[in-house]
Amino acid sequence: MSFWRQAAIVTRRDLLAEGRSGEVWWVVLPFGLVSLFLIPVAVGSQRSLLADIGPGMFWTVVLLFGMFVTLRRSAQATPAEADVLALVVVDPAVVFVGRSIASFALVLVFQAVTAPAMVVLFGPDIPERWGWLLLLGPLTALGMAMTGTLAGGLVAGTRLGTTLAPLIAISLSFPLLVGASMTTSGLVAGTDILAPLILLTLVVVLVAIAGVLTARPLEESGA
Amino acid sequence: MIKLEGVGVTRSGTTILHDVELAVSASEVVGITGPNGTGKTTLLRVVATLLIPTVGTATVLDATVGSPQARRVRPAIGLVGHQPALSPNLTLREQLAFHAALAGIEPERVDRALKAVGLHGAGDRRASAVSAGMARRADLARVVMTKPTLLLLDEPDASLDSDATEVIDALIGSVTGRGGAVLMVSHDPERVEHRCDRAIRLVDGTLEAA
Amino acid sequence: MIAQRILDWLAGIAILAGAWLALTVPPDAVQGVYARVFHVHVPSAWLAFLAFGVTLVGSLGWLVAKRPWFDRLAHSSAEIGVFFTGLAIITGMIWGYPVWGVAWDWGDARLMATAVMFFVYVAYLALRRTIDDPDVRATRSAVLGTAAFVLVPVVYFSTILWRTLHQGMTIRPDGTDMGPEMLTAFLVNLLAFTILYLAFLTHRMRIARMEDEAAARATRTAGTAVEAPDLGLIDG
Repeated sequence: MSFWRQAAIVTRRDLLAEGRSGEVWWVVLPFGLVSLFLIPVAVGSQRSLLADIGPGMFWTVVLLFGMFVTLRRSAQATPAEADVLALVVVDPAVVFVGRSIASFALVLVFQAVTAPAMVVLFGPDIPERWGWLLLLGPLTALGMAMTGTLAGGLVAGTRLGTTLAPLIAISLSFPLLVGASMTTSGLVAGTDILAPLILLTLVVVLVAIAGVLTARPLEESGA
Repeated sequence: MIKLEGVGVTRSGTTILHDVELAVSASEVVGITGPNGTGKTTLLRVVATLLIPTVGTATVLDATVGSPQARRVRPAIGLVGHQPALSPNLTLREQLAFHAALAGIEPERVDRALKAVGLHGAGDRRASAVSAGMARRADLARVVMTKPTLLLLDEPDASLDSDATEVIDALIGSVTGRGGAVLMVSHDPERVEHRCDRAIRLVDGTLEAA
Repeated sequence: MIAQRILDWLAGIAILAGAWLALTVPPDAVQGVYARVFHVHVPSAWLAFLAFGVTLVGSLGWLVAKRPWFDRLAHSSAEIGVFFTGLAIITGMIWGYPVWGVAWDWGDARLMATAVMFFVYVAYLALRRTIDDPDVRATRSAVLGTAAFVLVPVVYFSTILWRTLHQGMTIRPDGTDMGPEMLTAFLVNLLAFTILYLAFLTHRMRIARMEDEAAARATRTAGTAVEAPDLGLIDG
């Protein structure tokens, strides 16, 4: 049984479990939409102001609520499940990779629904080079998925686990917010986006390396 | 198949096991009994290669626990813990099917295993909607399916009716019949002793002959 | 023990010397007296980087060698790092208010990045508090201590990556734009803060070792906590 085939099975299992529990679709997603709706209520209805802050607000909402997507309950295994999984996978990184891919897909869904909502509610300027956004969204989602999976593994079985994980995940993914929002504002302003894109890619690669390399010690430290 | 030499485990400032010496050979069924909180589950997790001992050496199926080789013998280990290893959102059949896929077992074995533990009719129920006894049977179905060489049972009879305890008896017979070994732990000596070739008591973190 | 005493005295003397120099150098041509905050602000920020770098080394050391000494190094250094990060942020705000006109400038990338670095390491300390078992705690926090370091280069290069209010690098490989007196005072303070860090670190690690030893002495044997129930009390 190869690494990637096992990882694909873990992904399918996570997605099926999420499909059944509906946590992302019925709870986190509406929560994110409500928060996008609340911002104009709080800052006032000035069109130009809303158009300016729209993309930034979108990334903030994606970061905050996207982390709850990656830390959803259906992705957290009980100690008994973790034991049985550890006995059957060829490498502990299988679980990290499989879970991350499932979370990646779910964060993409979250983005795909909240992005049009943001455009309608805030009316931002659509950049000419909007094609880049099709790369930016998945890249950010990938970084968030892996950061969230890593944070979930760090707090598994600890006291305060569910409260602490978002603090870890959100503060760790700060460079993702910087990279994503700077790329977006660069696209809108028509300036160079190379530096923030490189930053974003670098962070994604570093988190991937950290997640794969630390999978074994994390598995052995099962609480 | 199992050899523990001077094994000790300390967790969170508690010495859970110390100086544990144990040897289990092929076709043997060994039971470990002891009161609550003496470290029976911890001992079982060491033998399952999931917990690396703080001191001493644990050798399981010729691999030292904590070494890279231990990973390779894991598919031959069947563990039925005292909590069901089930995801609440998936049906019993799905859980087994995913496990079969991960373990590289042909999917036909899933339904066979469900029939073997008497859960064929309940295969489409979610784990969150079944009783504790049914969840336990589903856990047993997983080991029926994987045919382990080393079977580890934690409080095997908990929440099971008499039909299901017969499943355990048959499972033990099947493992030893293939030349495998069984290690079970329970707080209740009566439930263990009739099944075992040998029963050992775990008292205050160390083993003494019963 | 004697080495520790010497280090403590050295740190004290160096800090006093640094403070005296910082207060007596001629005021900056542009920023006036406010530039004096610089002598606390920059060494604090440098120590934050140093401390988190040491936490990274301790974390990797634990993951590879599993020696408790590495975990104590990582933990002690992270605590000191959080303190100096806080000090760098506060002194930065004190400086920023008269010089930039605002204490907290949202356009300043390094300020934001530093604040987030602060929170990551606060989370690191929080994670340590939630785990009882020393080995599990060491492993989990070592993983975070390694991953969190991703942020440090982001903070460091933030002023290059995107130009903002924050001053760029003052001392570069090609020279400096500081006057000689200012430079001396700055270097003395940098050295003094570094010695202070070493003194803090050695003290904190000694305390951590004593905590570990105390925890080891308090080790109980499993099973001894459960006694035979007293059934007479149930109906009484």
